[in-house]
Amino acid sequence: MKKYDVAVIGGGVTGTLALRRLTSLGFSCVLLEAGNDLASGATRANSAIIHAGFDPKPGSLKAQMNVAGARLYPQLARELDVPFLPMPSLVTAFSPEEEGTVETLLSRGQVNGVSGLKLLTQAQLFGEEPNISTTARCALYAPSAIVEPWTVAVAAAENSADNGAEVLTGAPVTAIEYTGNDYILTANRHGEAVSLRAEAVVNAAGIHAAHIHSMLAPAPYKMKPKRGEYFVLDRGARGLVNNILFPCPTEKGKGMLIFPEIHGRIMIGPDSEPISDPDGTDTSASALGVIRSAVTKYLRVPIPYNLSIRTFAGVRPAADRGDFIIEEAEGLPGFIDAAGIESPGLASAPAVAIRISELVCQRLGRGTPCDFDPIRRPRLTLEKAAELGLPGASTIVCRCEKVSEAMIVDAIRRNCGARTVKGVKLRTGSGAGGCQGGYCQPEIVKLLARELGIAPEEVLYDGDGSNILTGKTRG
Amino acid sequence: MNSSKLTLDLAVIGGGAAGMAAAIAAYDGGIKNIAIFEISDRLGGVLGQCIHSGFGLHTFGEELTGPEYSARFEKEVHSRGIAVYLQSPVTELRPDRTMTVVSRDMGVTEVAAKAIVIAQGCRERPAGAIGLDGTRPAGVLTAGTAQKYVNIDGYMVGKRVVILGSGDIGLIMARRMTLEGAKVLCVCELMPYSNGLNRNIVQCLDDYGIPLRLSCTVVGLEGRERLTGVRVAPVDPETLKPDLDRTELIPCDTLLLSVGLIPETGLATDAGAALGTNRGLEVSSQRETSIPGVFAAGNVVHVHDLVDYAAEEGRIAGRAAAEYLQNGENASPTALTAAGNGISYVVPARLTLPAEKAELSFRVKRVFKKATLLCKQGERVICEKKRSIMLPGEMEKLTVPTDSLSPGELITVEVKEA
Repeated sequence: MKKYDVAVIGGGVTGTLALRRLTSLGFSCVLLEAGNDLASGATRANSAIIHAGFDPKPGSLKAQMNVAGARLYPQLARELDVPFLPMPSLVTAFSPEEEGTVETLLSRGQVNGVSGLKLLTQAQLFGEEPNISTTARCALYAPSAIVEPWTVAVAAAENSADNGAEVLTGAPVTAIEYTGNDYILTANRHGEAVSLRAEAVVNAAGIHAAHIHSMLAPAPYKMKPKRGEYFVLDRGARGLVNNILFPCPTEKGKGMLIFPEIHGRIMIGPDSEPISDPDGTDTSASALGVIRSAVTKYLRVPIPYNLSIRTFAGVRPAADRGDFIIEEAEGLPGFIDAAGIESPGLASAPAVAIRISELVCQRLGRGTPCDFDPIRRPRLTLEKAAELGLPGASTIVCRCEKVSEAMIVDAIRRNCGARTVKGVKLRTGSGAGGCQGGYCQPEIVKLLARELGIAPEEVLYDGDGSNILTGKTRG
Repeated sequence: MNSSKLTLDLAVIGGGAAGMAAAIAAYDGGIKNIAIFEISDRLGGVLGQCIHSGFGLHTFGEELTGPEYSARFEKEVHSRGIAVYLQSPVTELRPDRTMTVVSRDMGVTEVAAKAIVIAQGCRERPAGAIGLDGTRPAGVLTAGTAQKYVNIDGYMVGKRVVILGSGDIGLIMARRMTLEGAKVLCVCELMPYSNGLNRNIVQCLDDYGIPLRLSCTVVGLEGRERLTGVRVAPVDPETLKPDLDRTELIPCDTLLLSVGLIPETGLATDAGAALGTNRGLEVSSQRETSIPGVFAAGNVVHVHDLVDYAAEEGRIAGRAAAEYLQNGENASPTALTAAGNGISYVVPARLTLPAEKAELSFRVKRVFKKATLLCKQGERVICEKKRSIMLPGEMEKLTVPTDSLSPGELITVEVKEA
């Protein structure tokens, strides 16, 4: 049985950044991800915003981690070659009462240690955001950023693997046993049970964290899955808003936003609906209708929903404590829960990873910076591949996003490379554009089959059973 | 590595029927320094995967398959010695008519052209655009993507199939999937009429006993990894709202979508070209876009019913580009066109006047029976034409006498019901 210092359960932003941090401190690490790819849960489907930190309650872990995490992002994005773009958030007041809320948020942000906050008058707001409704009265301006969230996870895992960590996808943990000295974890890899030992376990299983914990002991928290749905409008809608446009938050959450995503498309959402199925990423016309009516009042121009290219839903991995849970489990030395990491979990993740590593170091009594290369080899660009004269450099597979065969092959061949059509989409953007894979999917299926040495019928879209092709034609 | 450079009189972006026709017409109009830049590894665009017959009745007077139709044009292109760069996508177009091409044969190439014809065609409206309830399982794909898998790659995409949308691609694929052994359960159409050609409804559905369910749509998807069923519901023909109380589950593993085509305008609009009311590139009667010297033709302007019409538009653009190169910008005054009652859009958006003839292409918004098409300038009726039936699925054309048109005043097309 293989032995590791630390086993990380969950390949989202929290788990992968923890893996990277722990690997950089000299621990031998393994990551176990249930899905066929990294970033299979909330990391894949969220607002992709690095929040400034004015929203969480002062003193909460959320507030501390958000502010600290957001500060770490620019460097992290550079090291890992993650698309990252600073962009202000504008929390807008549409009524006199909401003007008070905006002022409250300003002082709360200042208490939380957020820098660069200011109030915008109506005239300033109209200048920043020409399409904003004439009923907007003022706004809180907060320096924030947008990011490609799944790439944070993919890149952190790849960088860890490049530095010696082991990353297993398609490896749902089915049992954990505490021996008194260490833990024995069993995962189901394509029907085969694989066991390994680790001195410490990081439970970063997102919405499934309580389930993982319950394999050892009753979980001291309950998950409260909440679904959020979104519209994505194609780039023709560019310029609709130039900032991350927030309404004033309510007790239900931050409210529904209109904002540009990192590739110039416009996103609208999310709603917040408590659900029972932790994997309930279904969309519904009724929820999307709720979003449409909620955001209508934000702008003075109609929203071009005819440019919608996708609707999707994500499940927030919320727990019942209202704050992040980052702690060693009682009676289970070295078992570290990182649960309830809902918004602002993406912004917080780099700080959460540090916090997790501190708990691990404390328990194992070791951990010092080791010889670790933090730089991930940049993703191949169209021009770079052509310059290098790589095979397939001018074979454009994705017309909308201009992704060449060479870029896709690179995304497959890397450590933690793509194994599914969805994996190629996450790593290259191929299929994320206007045609949503209509042109490129047949070519990507062929490339995956060739590179993985499998038949095209065996190529998966995403999870097990998501085969795209059902057989050969009669010809 | 330094990028190479290429200077051209005319660059044609896209090597489908419209692009090839434009290049041929420009060549025959006296322009010899022409190159076609094609993103894929062959000319012909989507014709290559359209192995059914029915192409070319207007142009060649006979029924050809897509590849045969394309071959006729390719021969004309090659016999003229027109340069063709395959696997050479244009990655950036600038309003000064320079562009960056990532070419299989030349590498990253900066191209400076005195005139450009954009003929990039269109793409299919994806599932995401219609916001189906449910998760996003495999087994939901556009009809054209399925056609590529089946006809080019030789793979089947499913066994029990529901098709949403009775446009021509949906109808053609209903037959194709049936011939390959799949069970096509039904074709659902949101509207109370089909948008496909009548001959396709007969030859692709009726001949195979495939039911066409009008005023019916797919409202939801079942299945997490692979589709296990679709929920369909009847639709109110007036409001187009589905009646969710009468939802029916149809177990199936595949949903093919034929829910519209969208002109592929991104490259041109990034360069600043204006869009028309139909989301295609806005053009003059010469098919010149809002960028001087940049012309457009085919499905990037508006989605044509027949490839013959896309090619004809290519010829117009090619000839106009040749004239532009020889005589400079046509400085004649223009009159704008607009869609009036019952019309969804009119191409071209601008008529250059005076002109020998003017042809307006447009679509009606709904089915009209025994109605009259009117072309007016201001309040003056320029011409009128009676039609026994007009369908949104079939493009209408009006040839307008130009001697009574004057520049400056808006020209409208409208439907007058009896």
